[in-house]
Amino acid sequence: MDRDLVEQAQRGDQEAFAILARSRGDVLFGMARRILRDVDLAEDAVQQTLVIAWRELPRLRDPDRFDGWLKRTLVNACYAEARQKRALISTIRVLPLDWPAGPDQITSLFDRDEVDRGFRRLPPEQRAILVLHHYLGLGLNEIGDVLDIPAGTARSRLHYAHRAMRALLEADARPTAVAGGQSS
Amino acid sequence: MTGRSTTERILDAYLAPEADRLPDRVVDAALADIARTRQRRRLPVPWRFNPMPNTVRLATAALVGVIAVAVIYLNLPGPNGTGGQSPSPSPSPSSTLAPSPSPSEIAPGITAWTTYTSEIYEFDFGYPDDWTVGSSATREWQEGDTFEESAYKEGVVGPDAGGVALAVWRMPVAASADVGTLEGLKAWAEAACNELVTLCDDLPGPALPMCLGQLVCSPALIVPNENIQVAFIAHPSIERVTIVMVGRPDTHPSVARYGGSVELLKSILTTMDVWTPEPGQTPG
Repeated sequence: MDRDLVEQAQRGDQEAFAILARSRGDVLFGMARRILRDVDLAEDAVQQTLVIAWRELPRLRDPDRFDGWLKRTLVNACYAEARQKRALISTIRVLPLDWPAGPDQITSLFDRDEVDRGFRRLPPEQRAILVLHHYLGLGLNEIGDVLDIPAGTARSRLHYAHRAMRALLEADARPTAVAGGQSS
Repeated sequence: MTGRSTTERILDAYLAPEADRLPDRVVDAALADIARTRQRRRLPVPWRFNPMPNTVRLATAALVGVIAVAVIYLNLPGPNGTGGQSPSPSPSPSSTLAPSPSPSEIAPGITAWTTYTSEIYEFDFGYPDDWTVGSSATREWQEGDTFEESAYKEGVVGPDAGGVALAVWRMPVAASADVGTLEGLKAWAEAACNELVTLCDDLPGPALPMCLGQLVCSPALIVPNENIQVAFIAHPSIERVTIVMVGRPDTHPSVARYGGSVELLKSILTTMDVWTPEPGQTPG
């Protein structure tokens, strides 16, 4: 059914595209919000993605790959948003994400603000691959499809993103640990 | 035992799915924009080709030959000097054929691409399928490397001995350099040329602005030189610039089949999502 909608939209059917856009909007927004760490920027990125997707849709050769292609378009839109707003980033109001309710042994290992601070210090490319893996639950082949890179490249990029995140968390935690050691 | 590290489990929790809800007004605004946005035409040729079997290649060549003869015949001056055939209201034979490649996108002489994946730099590019890999990078570019050093370059060579060659690599960009604008990229390219000494000897020459990406026209540029043609592609978000170099003069015999080395370079750049901007489009 979605293939039919994609093909109709490729032929210029705006109503078909509207159905596709509304059904994918929440997932796109969830991705953009996590990559960009800003609600307003995320909304801009999704809106931009939908317009670009409409414009470029006739060039999508395989309608069955619409979803991966749309996610790739969104990731690129996030990169563009991040780049264009880089100069303003210090003045942008960054909204913390809501955390799952209830006690969580893992997240309590680190202060939530520390995790957020570390994540936002990653470059957009590393945030994107972490969002694809940890938010969407994509495997290496699927990440490769979305980012248009080989699975082996996806593996190494994910590895480096994890390593960078771990380093940031450890760097953020280190002064606290030292201080704690000195006081005991 | 899940095998997941602490960092991964923290990220699992931190990025966990929630009830993300895109406000309707965002989709409504996008649809309003879409109502005023024309869709782009379908690409005349895919930018990555599948290898064409020889039988298909021969059949295609024969078909092209027949069409060429027909076109020549139809356009030969007739007795009245206006053409070989009188005008007809019926569709011409060519209108029933698939669109042919646009010369501005894919150079003549290229019928298929082979994809090269750089393990060092983690990017892909395409080269004409009758070319061969000459050398692979063994490490990234590093401070102090000159153009003569080959360890950091991905190299592909054309089919003619002593003919055209292609080199591709990436260089880091200092955080202070703003390669997200065309002017910033030009300034960076000039400095890079000085650093690499013999890469491009007439910068700042008549650089051709190019666009990277389908979402926005991110800056890229071609710097035609007397002996080599160089393209600079900016990736400001990863603080890198990709350099693509075709190592022959524009009029060298080995690049004649492609319409010259600049057209060849433009074609190769399409495999890296770089395209020539339309009038009025400005990178950056």
